[in-house]
Amino acid sequence: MSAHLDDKQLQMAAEGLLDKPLLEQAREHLQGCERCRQAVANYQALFSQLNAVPLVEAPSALADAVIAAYERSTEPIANLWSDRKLLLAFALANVVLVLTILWTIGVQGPVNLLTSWAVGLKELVIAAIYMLPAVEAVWTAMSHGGIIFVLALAALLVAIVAALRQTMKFTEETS
Amino acid sequence: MKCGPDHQRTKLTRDVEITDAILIERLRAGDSSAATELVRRYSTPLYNFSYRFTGNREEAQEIAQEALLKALKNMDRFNPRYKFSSWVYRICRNLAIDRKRRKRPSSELNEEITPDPGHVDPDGGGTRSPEFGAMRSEENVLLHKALETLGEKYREIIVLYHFSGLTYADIAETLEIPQGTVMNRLFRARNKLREAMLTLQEAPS
Repeated sequence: MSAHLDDKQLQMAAEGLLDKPLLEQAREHLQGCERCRQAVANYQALFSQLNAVPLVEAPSALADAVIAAYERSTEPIANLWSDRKLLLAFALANVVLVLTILWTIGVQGPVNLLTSWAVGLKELVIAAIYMLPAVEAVWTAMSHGGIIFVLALAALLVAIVAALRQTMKFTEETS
Repeated sequence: MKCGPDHQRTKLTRDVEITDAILIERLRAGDSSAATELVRRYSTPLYNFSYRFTGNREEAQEIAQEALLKALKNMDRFNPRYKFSSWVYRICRNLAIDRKRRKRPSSELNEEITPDPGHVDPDGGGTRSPEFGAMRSEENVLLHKALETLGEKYREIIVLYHFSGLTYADIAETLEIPQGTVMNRLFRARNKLREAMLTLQEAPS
């Protein structure tokens, strides 16, 4: 090798990362070239200095805070509410329940539902078994309990938006 | 080809990676002591990375804390095909970048990483920590000043490779760039660093 080593080769030589056959050629060149030898030595000194910078020990409060926060987050109640899937399922279940109750009120009347939970439960089971068409459920609910229905839908929407935001936030941070 | 700096501070050896995988398995099985071990293992590396990135101890602590907690709480999203270290460094880096972007321009002039002679290390209980003495040397002051002049992408790659001891492959996973790009960027960064040090050396004090 007659030409000087380029900067990449100088750095690789300084780190001992050159592979054959370049290694042999570089070695031969370095023997006769003071300029490249000096450049390699300069890089070696720089790398030694970089590698010798000591780690700064993290404050013990750091690990303590993380462990405490993690333990809090794994407590059953906290976990239940922080789990997006569970939160979503819970919201959906509530909407179905509210719709069913509203439909029951429409069919049986509010007094009947309030005085006899058994009737309500029976209707709930019937609704589940016969898979009441969604349109009919919405229509019935809107007819007999518009405000509650809208509130239930709003709650569902909030739950979905919260879950999506959480997912997006994490995706952004890890991508 | 060999890669990774050959020094004693290299934290992420193959053995550690195997143990990380085991710890993650244990954590997923509900063993909370595995979380403690992971936190203990990564506190200092992430704190150092954040510190070199932000130049501020308090911020570095907050970023490292947040990164570790986020990783633990979202362990179900961790893909075991990759290294945990790369994943947690990536989370930490993104948090550090976010925080830097949110900062107002007036606060951009952050605390110098290089120590001032009157500084008492807050973690040292009133005594100077060992690294403080080392960093006081003129050479290291120059090195850190030169590092500060580098662009973010060059500084972070030097920090990841030389200070955190990550390999080219680890850095490629962390930054989500090809390994060849890691190498080229590192070569360019060190070349710029050397030039910056020469400029600072020649500049009248």
